[in-house]
Amino acid sequence: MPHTIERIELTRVSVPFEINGPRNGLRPGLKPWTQMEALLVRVHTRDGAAGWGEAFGHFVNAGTAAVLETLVAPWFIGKDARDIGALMEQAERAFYGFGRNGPVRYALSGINIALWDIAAQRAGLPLYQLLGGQRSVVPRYASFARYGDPAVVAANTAAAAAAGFGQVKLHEATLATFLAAREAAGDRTRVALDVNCPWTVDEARAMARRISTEDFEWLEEPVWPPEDYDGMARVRREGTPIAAGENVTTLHDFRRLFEADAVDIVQPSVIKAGGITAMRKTYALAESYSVRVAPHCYFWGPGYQATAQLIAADARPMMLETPYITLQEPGVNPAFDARSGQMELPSTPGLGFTPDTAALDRQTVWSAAVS
Amino acid sequence: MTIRSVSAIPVSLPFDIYGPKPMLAGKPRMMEFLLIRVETEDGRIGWGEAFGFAVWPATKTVIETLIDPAVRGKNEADIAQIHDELSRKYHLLGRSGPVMYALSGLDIALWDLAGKAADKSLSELLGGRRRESVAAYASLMKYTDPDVVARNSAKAANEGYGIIKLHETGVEQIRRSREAIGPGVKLTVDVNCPWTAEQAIAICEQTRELDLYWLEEPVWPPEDYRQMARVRKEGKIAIAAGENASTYLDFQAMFEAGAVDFAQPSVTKIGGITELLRVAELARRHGVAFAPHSPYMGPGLIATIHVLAACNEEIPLEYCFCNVTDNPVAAAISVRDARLAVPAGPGLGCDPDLRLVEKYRVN
Repeated sequence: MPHTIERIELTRVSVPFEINGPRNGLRPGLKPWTQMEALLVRVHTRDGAAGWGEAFGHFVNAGTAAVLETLVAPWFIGKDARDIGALMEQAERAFYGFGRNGPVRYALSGINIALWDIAAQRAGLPLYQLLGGQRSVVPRYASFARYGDPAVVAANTAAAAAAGFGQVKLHEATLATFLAAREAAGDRTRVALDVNCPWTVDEARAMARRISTEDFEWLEEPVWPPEDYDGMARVRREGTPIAAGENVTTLHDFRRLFEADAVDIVQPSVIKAGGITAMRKTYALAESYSVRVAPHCYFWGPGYQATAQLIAADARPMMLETPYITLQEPGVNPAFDARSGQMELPSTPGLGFTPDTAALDRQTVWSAAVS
Repeated sequence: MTIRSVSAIPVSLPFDIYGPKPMLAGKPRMMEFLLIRVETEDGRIGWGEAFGFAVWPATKTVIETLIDPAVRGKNEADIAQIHDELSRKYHLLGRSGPVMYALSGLDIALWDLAGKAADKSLSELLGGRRRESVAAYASLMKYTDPDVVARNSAKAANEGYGIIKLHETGVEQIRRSREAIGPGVKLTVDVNCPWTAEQAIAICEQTRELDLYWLEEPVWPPEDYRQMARVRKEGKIAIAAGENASTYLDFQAMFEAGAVDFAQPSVTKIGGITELLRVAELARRHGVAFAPHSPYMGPGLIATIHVLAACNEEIPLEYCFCNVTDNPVAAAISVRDARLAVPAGPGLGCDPDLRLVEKYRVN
């Protein structure tokens, strides 16, 4: 059968990157974070078609790669690549016991994206058109690394604004950095804040109240633990828009998030939450609760392309989160760059991930093939 | 004292379930577990277990690449602090799954070390050793063949088990089990998330006269607590769930939905003893019975025994109905008259037999 999945290649790619500032803020007390890794999945069907996907991410890539190599990818061999919805349902039922939120779900996300890449190629359309969109240009927002220093934050905010970004997002957790960015952004550029779950509900409420008059676009993941949706809802009442979702991975958990009135903006991550299939369901669910979708995207490879495609396909305008970094080997994804505030999606059929294979090979730190 | 290293040792043991082995995630079921070994600077060793089965390669990788580097040099007595710090540091990498399993195994090993340092059994550390043995329930694997179900149900009843759990989804299989064990033995069924609420309610009606003590994980997907609550209400049956829950707030959602009568956190999955105790307390506050999931045969089972030994309530231990050859911790997990003795030694009270670990170590 031509559409049978015959082979799945797994590649861990590690690319040095620059962040336009000192690195010590990124992971205080740990070795500086100097390489951004991606776990790539390439699914091949018998008829010669091949699709790219990506599984989350960063410091768990070795673990997710082990899941893919030993458990999840072998399951997909011999299955019909066209039957995406049914395959994902069956795969979820096969693997749910190993974590509905974590590396196994990331593995499923990677394969799902690759199957959609193949489907769009087969249809002769860029993925966003297959999904019903027609807009080929998406605006980007600059997602900063954690700098720590308010002066560096201010300088990068000004630089991003000058480069045409309509929004910047900080990965900081101090009022000084928030206000520095707000001032540097002026009237034209929005500022969003991502604090990554540091505070108790009371601490978060106090901060949200303090910044409620400063016109930030959103305050992201203010409360520990990330699944304290009721806590987030209480923070939301202080008047600052609340965003969350990168740590939510099942449809029912998204539903609970929305029913708790926890967020103004939801941020599902295509390489964590189940790929394109899961993202479409999440978009629909969010719309039914009048929640905006601003997908999480702190990666540079097929996951970045997949997120761009989803945004381009959505009727509601949204910016594509773009890590404000320079990859020292840009050939790993020529479509990724943080120099301008807009991305033109490729018109080629499929996902639009067309790496320079020599560049990818140079940066490969691990690979395996399953067949 | 400080932690020198954390390592993961996968072990696969020969085992007999008195019938054909079922498939799990596309592969035949093995008796695999992932031992977690924590060594301190002064050479003391603590043992734990991370949820194994087919996913241990990922968990082992997480131990080696993330957990070990993160905890070296930390004080092994700071169990709660380490649990909190690593949960926060790695929360981005999955609130369930291999990272959480790794944290679970580490936590169990740290509690083992704490018991050894205090020269007390873990049950004493956890609030008092209220009993010297715990009653077990026989957790039968999925046989599918009704004759095999009946035969093994009778076998379990004859071995003195007062509660038997099936992993079957067919009414015929459940009926044959009830016929084989008679009316005096409690019978529960774990169906592992196959059905819609309607399908589950229909099965409840068809098995009404079989007097099931609980129905476990009846609906797909596992986190649909609203539908689970519907089955509980309309199926008029006690519901058990929790082995796939992700953190104690997930259990809170389950309880607030009115979804369960029995909460089943799994010590090797949920975040170790530290998180298991948190869920047990939450269950008490919501009036839900605590019935932890533990169909494994390593330090995770021993940890569960100690937790149950320290509970006020009498809670039966889930015990795999099988015969395992050469278990490195056999001394602590041998069943007699459907009860398991609570180990008396410090900590878990049973270090694995290293010769057997080496013999059955994978790779």
